[in-house]
Amino acid sequence: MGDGAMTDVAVRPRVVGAEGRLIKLPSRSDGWRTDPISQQASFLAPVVVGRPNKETLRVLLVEDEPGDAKLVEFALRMSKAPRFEVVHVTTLAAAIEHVKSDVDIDVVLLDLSLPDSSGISTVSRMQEVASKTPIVIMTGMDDQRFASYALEAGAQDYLIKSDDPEKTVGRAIRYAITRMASQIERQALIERIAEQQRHLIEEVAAARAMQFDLLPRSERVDDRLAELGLEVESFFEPSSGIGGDLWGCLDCGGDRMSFYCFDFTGHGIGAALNVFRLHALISDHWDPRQGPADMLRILGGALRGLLGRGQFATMFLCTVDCRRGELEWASAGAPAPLLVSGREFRFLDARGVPLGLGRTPDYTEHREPFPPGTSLLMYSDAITDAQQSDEETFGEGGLVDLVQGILAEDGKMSVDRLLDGLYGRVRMPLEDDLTAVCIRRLGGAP
Amino acid sequence: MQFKVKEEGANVHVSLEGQLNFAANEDFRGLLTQLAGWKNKKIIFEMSGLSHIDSVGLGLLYIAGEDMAEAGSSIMLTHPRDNVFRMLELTEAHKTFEIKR
Repeated sequence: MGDGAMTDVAVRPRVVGAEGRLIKLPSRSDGWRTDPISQQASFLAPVVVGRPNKETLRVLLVEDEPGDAKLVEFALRMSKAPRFEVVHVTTLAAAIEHVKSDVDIDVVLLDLSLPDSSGISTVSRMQEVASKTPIVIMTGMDDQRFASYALEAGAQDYLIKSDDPEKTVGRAIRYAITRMASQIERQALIERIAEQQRHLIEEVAAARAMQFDLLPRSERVDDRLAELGLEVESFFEPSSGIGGDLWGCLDCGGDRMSFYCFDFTGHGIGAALNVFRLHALISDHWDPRQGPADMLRILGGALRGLLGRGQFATMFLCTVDCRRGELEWASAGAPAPLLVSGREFRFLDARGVPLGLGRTPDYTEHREPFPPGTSLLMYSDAITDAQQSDEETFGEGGLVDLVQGILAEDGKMSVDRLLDGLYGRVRMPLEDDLTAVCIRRLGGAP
Repeated sequence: MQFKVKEEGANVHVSLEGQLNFAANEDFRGLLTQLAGWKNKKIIFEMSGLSHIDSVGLGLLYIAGEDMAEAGSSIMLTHPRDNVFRMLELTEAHKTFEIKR
């Protein structure tokens, strides 16, 4: 835009009563995924056709005994509402041929002892060609147990031939049609839910991959870590696909490298979205000349106002200076990291108002010697909040016991060993996102 | 989490029991609705019955703090157990709430 245009805008008088504003148009859908759902509803159309409230129902009667067939046909003819149109065949082959000829049939009345087929296989062979057509089995008095097998095999109802067909056949047909309709509807619903679940899983998997992409990658950091003599062992596992934790490292140049670990309230998609926010803020505001306390203050200020009520992040940010052998850190209420030296360890002072909670947060900068041989363990509260029993959480006490055991045995802090110990002591699965990062300065005597 | 509310003069005593965490979300919001009836009070959260608080629970306390401030009331947290106090200490909750051990 040229200078002339700028001037033009600057001198344009403000129109009274027509100030600039944000106009938010309302949504044009009823909500998430509603459109695909209504598109899928067309799948249910054939189900409606099969309802028993049609005026005329077409019956395929498969019966080789002429007497039985006549009785049933007579009974069906007596009915006026609905009316039945009957096609009578005497073999399964003829029945299958009829079905294949594309003639609409509302129900099949099927005798199980036919010249070309007998028993349960009669039902299954019929189903193969007419999977959505209700089948009513016709059976002799002795076959009742067999009839119930047939129901299990997929028939919708059965008739006992010796019963008065006038009273029973119409009811059995209507019942079979209704039952088939609800079976098809249920199947359609299950498929629809499964489809939505597949879709949701795909979405979460994509988001999860994006979240894992935020983590430091070996190919980008290994050279620098090797140069600085730092070994970093990390574990990151969201409790429900994606989550509210993240850790990272930021190169300060020279002999310094910064590390952070943060954790938003809650877990799942909402917390994960906040992770992306804070990660972007860190990228925007990161300045290696700023100390950790100033960085937290800047991030807290930037985050405040973006978060919903009751939402916040705890964060630990530290810089390892390998030349001076120092660790510099500030914390916004993160679980207190452990500073490990040989078999000794202690919690660092991690007090601080979580990011997003304080109006004008102020953080304290701390410094400790961090010579070769020492290590630092950062972790999320999934560890200390893990449940040992209904009433008891693992807590800092549990962590102390566990780390003492690991150091007594190995003389070296290990995230892998920590997780082994934790999983053996607390209720699984964990209900929160778990991050644990151990930064070891190599080279010194343990 | 369970709670009991009792008014005593200028104070409202709320005793909390169980765990203040994600699972307590609905109960806690019920408590806030109940507390919304009072103005210009000192709301005292008796925490000795609270066995655990996590970050979601802490967030709920801050929501309560905002709501009460709007109604001219203030919140005091009393007698937290060691592990609950540790969480309040770590997050410097004393900068927002009056805390009495």
